[in-house]
Amino acid sequence: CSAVTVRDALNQAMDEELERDERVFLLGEEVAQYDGAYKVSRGLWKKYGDKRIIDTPISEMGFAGIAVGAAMAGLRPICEFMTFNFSMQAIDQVINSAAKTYYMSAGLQPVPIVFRGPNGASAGVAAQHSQCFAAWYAHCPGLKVVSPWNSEDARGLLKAAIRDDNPVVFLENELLYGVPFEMSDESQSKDFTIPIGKAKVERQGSHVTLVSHSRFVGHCLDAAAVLAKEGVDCEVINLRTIRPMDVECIEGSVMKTNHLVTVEGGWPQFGVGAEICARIMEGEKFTCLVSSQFISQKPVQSGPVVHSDLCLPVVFFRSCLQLPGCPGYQGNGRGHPHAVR
Amino acid sequence: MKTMLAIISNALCRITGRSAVSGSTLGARVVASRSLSDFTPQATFDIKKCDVHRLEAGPPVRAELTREQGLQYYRTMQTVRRMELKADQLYKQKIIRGFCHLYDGQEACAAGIEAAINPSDHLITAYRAHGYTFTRGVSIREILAELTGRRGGVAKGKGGSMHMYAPHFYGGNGIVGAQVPLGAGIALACQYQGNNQICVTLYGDGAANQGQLFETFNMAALWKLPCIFVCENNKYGMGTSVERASASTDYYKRGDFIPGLRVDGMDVLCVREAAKFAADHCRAGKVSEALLLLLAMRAPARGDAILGRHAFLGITPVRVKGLTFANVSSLICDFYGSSELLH
Repeated sequence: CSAVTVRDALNQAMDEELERDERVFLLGEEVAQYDGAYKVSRGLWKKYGDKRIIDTPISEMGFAGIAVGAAMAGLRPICEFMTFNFSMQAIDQVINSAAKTYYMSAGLQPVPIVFRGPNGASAGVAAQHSQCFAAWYAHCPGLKVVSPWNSEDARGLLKAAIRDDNPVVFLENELLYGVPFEMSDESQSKDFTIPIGKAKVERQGSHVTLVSHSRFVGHCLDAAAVLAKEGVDCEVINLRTIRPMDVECIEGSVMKTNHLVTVEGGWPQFGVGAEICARIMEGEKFTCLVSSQFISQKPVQSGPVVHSDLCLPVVFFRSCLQLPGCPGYQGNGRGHPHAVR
Repeated sequence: MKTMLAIISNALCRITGRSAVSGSTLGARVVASRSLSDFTPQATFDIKKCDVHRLEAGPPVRAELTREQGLQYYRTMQTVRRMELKADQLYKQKIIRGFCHLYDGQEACAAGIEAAINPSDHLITAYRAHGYTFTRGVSIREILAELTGRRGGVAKGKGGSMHMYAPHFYGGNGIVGAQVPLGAGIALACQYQGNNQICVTLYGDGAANQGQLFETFNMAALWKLPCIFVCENNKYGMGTSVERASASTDYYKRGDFIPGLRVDGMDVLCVREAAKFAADHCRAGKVSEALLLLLAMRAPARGDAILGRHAFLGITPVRVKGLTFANVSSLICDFYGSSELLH
């Protein structure tokens, strides 16, 4: 058992998969000689050379298309976007060339590719560099969309993604790269993978279900610790995979707790939380809910808002639970939840 | 042989009731005949010289054609032509729905390129793909079934006109220009795997202005990808003429640092020689560099309102180097009995 940062977990995962399968290679901006814009690919170019770790010019649409073409012709590329904001330049290649091809060809042409990079907000990088793309990509059939939280998630899910024959969008988080997490020996073995499409209950609870992904799982656990002192027992679910979503896990939890809060870094409308709420409300387990769910998320502001952006999710989340009428807080399920925007 | 001709001649005269002996000019007579052993096995033709860009020399100006090759190219082009005309008819009958981008008039490009590359090479094109789908090995039945949305189609009816695939053929791509980076990626895979294969990546005059092409040219040149970029210029991007869309219509120069050739796309031998030249240029071990071909064609009527059907009829159908199907010159008689062509 040892503490491994998310960055190192990702690095080890790629290193092992590069070693295991000759067809795997990494391309993106600064991935080779710079050791990665965020040092996630540190040491890989030195070990594997120009053929397998490729620095690209700043041409997202071009290199993403090249990566997809290479996947069609039998290789297994890992295509890194410096952040997923830049993936918008290439989104046609991700959706129309990668995601849809297996269907359009009736199974003749698979596209085994992983698109990875940091997603969502960082610290003070402003609006153009802070968008969460989970909902955008999860909307599209043909893609798998994965959003790890801790080092074990990062390692197991990246290995699974690289071994998967489908196009996988792998949403990392820049602020998590440097965070160390304890990892078991088993999770550090070379064939350790986490199944895509399965959520994990990080903390058992009985009063309210908190569903989250990526960095906000950590926030939920922090909030749960605070609330525990006040007598509210939270169950925290780490989605791990956005698409296909593990609805059964959420349903099972809601059956137990009867209250649901979703926490994410994306915008409220048409988002991941909206989808979770819709699935629960339209599903069989709707009757288990005592009051309607609400979505809590960090509002992303334009302009040079700095560290207050960062604090916002925790403050808002806790404050909403402290609001009168909040189901989790009251514990008896009565009251009127407030949608936090 | 002569005895047989005499017998046939007499029989014909009997049938038509004329006497061969009387020397009447009316009546059926066998006038002339050729046996297979009389035909020339091979001929050499002059072809148009290609304009070059960043190249010392272009492809040869003379092309050799064997009897078998000529027949094969002719059959290929004729088949594609008739398939496309049929598809046109089916489309107008609403038996084919959605999109149906036809390739009639451009057959020499597909036939010429396929003649120059190996089946183990790779090819990717845009949505005007029916011709290439055939030349890359998909049967007419599977193509037409796919166009009409049937289960027997090459993509089980799920792809349609624009999304047909075969081994080493990557479609059929609906988004203008998106296939160009894909093609460079396929070339990267060839280079990565060291298999001496190349990728032919086609696009149209309309796609020639897409930004992702220039991103691709940059990376292809930087990494020396074994890729031939081919611009099929049919003078119109939908309804917009090339003069109205492009500041420079010298598409073979638009790759800038990538060498280029301007090729007569209506001549199957010219296309073949240029593609051969380009393939040799690209393959690993030689110059290993990308190359851009511009296939200039007469503007066929692509169903656009501007040109109309009469312009299409004006195009010479199926050329086998200066010899039209309708015009049986002595050269063609040297090659084939007319029955072989007319079947």
